[in-house]
Amino acid sequence: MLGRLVSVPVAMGVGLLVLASYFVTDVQLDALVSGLVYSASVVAAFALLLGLVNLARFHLARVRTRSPESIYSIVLIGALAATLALGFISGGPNSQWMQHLFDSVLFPLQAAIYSLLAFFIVTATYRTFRVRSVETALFVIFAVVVLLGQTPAGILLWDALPMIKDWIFDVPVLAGTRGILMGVALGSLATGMRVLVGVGRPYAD
Amino acid sequence: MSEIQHILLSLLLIFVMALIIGRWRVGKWMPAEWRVIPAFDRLSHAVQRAIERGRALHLALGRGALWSSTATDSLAGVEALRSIAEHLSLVGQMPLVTTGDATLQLLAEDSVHRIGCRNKAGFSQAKPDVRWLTATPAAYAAGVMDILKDDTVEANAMIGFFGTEYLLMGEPGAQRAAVQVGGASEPTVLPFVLATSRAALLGEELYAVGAYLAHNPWHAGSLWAQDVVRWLIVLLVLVAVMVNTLV
Repeated sequence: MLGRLVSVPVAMGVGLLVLASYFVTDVQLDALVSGLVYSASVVAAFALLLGLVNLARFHLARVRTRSPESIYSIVLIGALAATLALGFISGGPNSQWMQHLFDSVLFPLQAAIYSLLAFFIVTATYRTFRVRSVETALFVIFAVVVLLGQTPAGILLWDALPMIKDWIFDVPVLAGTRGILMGVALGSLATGMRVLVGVGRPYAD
Repeated sequence: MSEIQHILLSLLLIFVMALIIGRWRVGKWMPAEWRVIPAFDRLSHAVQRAIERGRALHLALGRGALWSSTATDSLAGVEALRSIAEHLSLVGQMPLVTTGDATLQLLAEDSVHRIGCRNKAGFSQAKPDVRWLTATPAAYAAGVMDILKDDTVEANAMIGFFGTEYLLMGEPGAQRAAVQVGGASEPTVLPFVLATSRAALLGEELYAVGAYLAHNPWHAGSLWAQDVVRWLIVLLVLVAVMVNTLV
């Protein structure tokens, strides 16, 4: 109850101040809001530290219980310790050694994971393209037209296909995207306003 | 203030007024039922299956930081988490939650912990299992893929902010989990959500979680407020088109 008495006015007050700074031009208000935004990034940094503790705790527990997958946890904890040590020794995340570590380990690993997308797109497309209703039939027709409209073979089949493909992108796709974006903007506004006026309290009961 | 700022401020004020009226309408003359969104039924089905089988329900909240512009998607995910945890905790279960952002992990863990403390009656309560996997999208997807290959996961829900990594998690989920529900607001991710879930929360449906699952009157009121402002914007667009065409 006490937590709620403190957290709700603080959240509302800070939110309203940040919102007000968008509409009002005032040097003191801008400075105050900059300070608040900066303090949010400090809190986020501490949250990252707690997240790291959460991660380490989970994997240490897995090693302790000798789970069949504990070998991966050992690798993770070892990599975590090595990266931390290298960061401290070499002079922070912008040092040459850390950059080298990112360029030669992290980025290739990320690229390897993303390369799986190609295979997953094939299986997802296969499942989606099974015609079960009018909507899926339309989905397949539009997808085939767009696919053919982008390939030389499709242009050879019918030279109007690229124009139809462009029309699909410029008219129905753009209209649909704008409709979705407007709905999302209103939904975001509703969520934000509920927090601002104190009726949405994800941080308290 | 510029002209745009005037318009935005007016829309904000109209929205707040509509929100208050909408809240007041709930239980008075607001229709008792809204349009059916199959994904919410599917989410309830996922919870029921997890309870029946005594197996895990995994909820991926994505990687939208609470201090960024993607916070609203994450808050919608937390709203879904609260509803799922409320139901599961009644039989002593807790969802397995993963996030790709540390601030979101703190909020999710706090929410689940509070629900667990409140619903302690009768059953030995499972410990909240909320994990921050990593800060990068590819590694987050890899972590979720690893969890989904575990046979103890009965149902999979992914509600929050995601990028293209959604497909990396959604496809194994569609193949392994008995029930899968997805939800995202990014237009580029929506095809992946549709392709991997039989029922999905698309775009603005994501923000209706509180009204549909928790039956919160303020959330219900805000749905009405959204409709009011939407019609107002449509009207403004039509008037602007007519004025530009005629003048």
